Amino acid sequence: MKNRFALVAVLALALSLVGAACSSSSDSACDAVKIENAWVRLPPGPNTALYMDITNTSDSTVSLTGADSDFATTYELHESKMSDGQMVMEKVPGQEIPVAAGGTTNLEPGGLHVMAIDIQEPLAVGDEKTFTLTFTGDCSKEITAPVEMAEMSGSGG
Amino acid sequence: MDPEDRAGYNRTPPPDVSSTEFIDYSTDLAGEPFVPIAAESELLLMYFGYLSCPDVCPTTLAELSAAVNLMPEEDAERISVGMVSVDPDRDQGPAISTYLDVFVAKNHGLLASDVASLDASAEVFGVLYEVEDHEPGDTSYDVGHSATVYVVDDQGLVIWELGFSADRDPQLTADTLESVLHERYG
Repeated sequence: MKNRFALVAVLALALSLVGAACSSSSDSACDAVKIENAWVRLPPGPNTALYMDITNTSDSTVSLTGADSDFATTYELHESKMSDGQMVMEKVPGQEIPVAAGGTTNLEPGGLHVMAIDIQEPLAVGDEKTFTLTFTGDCSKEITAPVEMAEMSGSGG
Repeated sequence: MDPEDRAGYNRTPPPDVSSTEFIDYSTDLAGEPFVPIAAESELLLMYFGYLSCPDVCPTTLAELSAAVNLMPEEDAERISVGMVSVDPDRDQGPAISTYLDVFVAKNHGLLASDVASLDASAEVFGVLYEVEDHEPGDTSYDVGHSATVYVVDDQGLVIWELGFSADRDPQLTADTLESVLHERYG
């Protein structure tokens, strides 16, 4: 009898943990991620970049792991950096851009960005593009970003 | 503007780039020879990049575009922009000109005649670039390049340079170009 109670208690505890994990990954952790100042660069060439500020108000690191939209063939996380006098662009290792607990990570010109590769339709200033962003913890967010020639004054940090 | 307040820097002596030659596709779709010397009493802004560049090149060209638009019209008319592609496998000459049209009306879309010529010209300017090895027809490879803007006068001398900045105020760039323009030609 005693053992059976113990088993039920363990099961109940396990179920509650699973429940907690589910709700925190899909709701609260995701709610803690805020996207601001998103914009897409007007691309005269075949590729372009999406920029934004990602704020994480939770108490653990959340990472951007990917982006998707409907106007380019592929989307990758990239970073431009200066190396030996040259500007080079690299894929972000592991395709994860971390946002520290309580912190903000800026995706901005000359640094981190989502690279949209092989644009399939011409974009124009004033267009609005919808992206699905995926984050660690089973979180995905939909955002809308205007197409701009350059960062609008006042929208940045 | 006091020259000390300008963005950028200059080299002494100023590099003479009048010995370099490119092919200009903005004036003729089939291309015609182009020596990077500004028209009389004008400035030519030379830049080395590539069209697949989604971040650094358009950041710089958007800055130059905004700066030229901020200048008084009589000075803005004396500025032209030349962009040399270091990625001739992907970039067709006329496409470079079309790319530039988005930013600056007075432009020169440029290619070197071959890799040896590009390397020789890059050395004269002091440009570094690197194209990742790739197979013919491959469109996915990385390119690294110096992202400096070279301000060339009507003698073919690089009299001022603007290093890459992601967030320079275009007004500072405009004031710098005006200052260089008026110091050079009065």
